[in-house]
Amino acid sequence: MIQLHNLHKRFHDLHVLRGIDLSVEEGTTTVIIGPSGSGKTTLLRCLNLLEVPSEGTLELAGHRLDFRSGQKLRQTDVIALRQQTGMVFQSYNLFPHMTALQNVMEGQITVQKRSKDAAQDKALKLLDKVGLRERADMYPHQLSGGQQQRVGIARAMAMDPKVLLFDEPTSALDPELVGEVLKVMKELADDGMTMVVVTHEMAFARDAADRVVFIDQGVIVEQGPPGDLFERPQQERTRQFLNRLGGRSV
Amino acid sequence: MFTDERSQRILEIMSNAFWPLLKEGIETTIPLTLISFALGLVLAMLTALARLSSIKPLNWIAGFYVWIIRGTPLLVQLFIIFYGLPSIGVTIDPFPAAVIGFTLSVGAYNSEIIRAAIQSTPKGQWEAAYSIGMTYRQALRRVIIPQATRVSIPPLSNSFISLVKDTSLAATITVTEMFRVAQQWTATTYEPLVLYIEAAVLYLFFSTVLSYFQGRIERRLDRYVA
Ligand SMILES: Nc1ncnc2c1ncn2[C@@H]1O[C@H](COP(=O)(O)OP(=O)(O)OP(=O)(O)O)[C@@H](O)[C@H]1O
Ligand SMILES: [Mg+2]
Repeated sequence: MIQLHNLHKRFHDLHVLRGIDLSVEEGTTTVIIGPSGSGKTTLLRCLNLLEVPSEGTLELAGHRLDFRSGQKLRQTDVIALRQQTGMVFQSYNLFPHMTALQNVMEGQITVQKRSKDAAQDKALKLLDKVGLRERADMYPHQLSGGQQQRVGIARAMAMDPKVLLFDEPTSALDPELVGEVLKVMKELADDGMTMVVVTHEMAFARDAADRVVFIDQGVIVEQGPPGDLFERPQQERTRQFLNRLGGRSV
Repeated sequence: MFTDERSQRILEIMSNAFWPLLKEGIETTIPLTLISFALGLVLAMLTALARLSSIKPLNWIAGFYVWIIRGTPLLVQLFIIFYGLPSIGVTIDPFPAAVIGFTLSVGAYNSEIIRAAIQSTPKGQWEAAYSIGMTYRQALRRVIIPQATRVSIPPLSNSFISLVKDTSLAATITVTEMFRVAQQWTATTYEPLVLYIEAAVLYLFFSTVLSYFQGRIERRLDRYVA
């Protein structure tokens, strides 16, 4: 579903991603872990072109893009690729002037040009799936963080993405609200959604991930099934990172 | 103090002048304000978008326009339009000349308000819009501008109320609006104090009524803000 070859990202002099090779199979969940500043967010944002890679190749759901520095992307390529992906943000980023229902309908109407009725049907189904059908007419500020994030997931799902991207979806949440969001994500994973998740929730990684990728200083240090990576890390850097994390939720 | 006779005369002038003043207020001051503000807002929006655009020449043109208008007195601009342009063969009637002057002014000042409001919208809102596949235009129209509107209503309203008062400058280019009527009455009655105070009270009345509507619009738009 996703293939990255030798992907690089530079911010001026800062070389953040230094040759990432990664492949994500359809229907699997990949969890990305790594220290702060290692490039996890940047990698995820390269997958839907919120950041444009400086160099390398990105293949996603049949769209293939080659990046060379100084070369401008065509808007139509960017939009086409983004339509294959959905993104869930750490700070939810719901549209504050729209109700939960309108948030989930918006992309369907504006981007996909579905009829209002069809969009509403679908939005209500998705809100039902994330357990928020009765909150459909509330504005984001009337919802808890966990509820907002579940609306965020429904909004991303409404576009029928081939891949869902999550950037630390629970780290802005009060601890007692983390569970409800992870539960929804686990259900999506079980339904066969292809997901790439940056998270510090190791319990979720163990439970839901098919593959865990450890990245440090812009390179993939090690990757494998959660059992292997957590119990038998091959690299010293991975071991150190997991040990430091040891105190938290592993 | 005033003698009885003087007081009587003043009261008479004030009541005689009241209807002509109010009439010009309603027939000229208010339309001049509304037309200039509406056209000015369109110009302001286009200018703000041009200044935010990645197309360099658009940036320059918009920046130059704002620089000129904000850096020179409105009174001088009105004189150039009304008294100056005829010497190069462009003659404009008083009322349209005033509309042009005020529109240009509203466009320049308010483009800065709109630009600031658009830029104050959190980056995450653009990213959320892009992440569901929107183009720049769609994101602007559906996500950013509605939020920027909410932020810019108070400063836009202030500028609207300033405009109500600034329209009195149109008197200098012979537009018969409220202030000019007060001037004309003064010229025949020699009672400047009471007539100008009367005009001031009417401006106060108009701007108070308009502030009231501003408050109502703000409350309507507040429904989604915590
Ligand atoms: N737009 C940008 N401009 C310049 N530098 C950036 C930009 N975005 C990220 N960086 C830098 O790139 C590096 C990697 O950032 P990134 O956000 O990808 O890290 P991360 O692994 O997600 O960290 P965290 O766990 O703290 O979220 C950091 O040094 C960051 O300062
Ligand atoms: Mg990050």
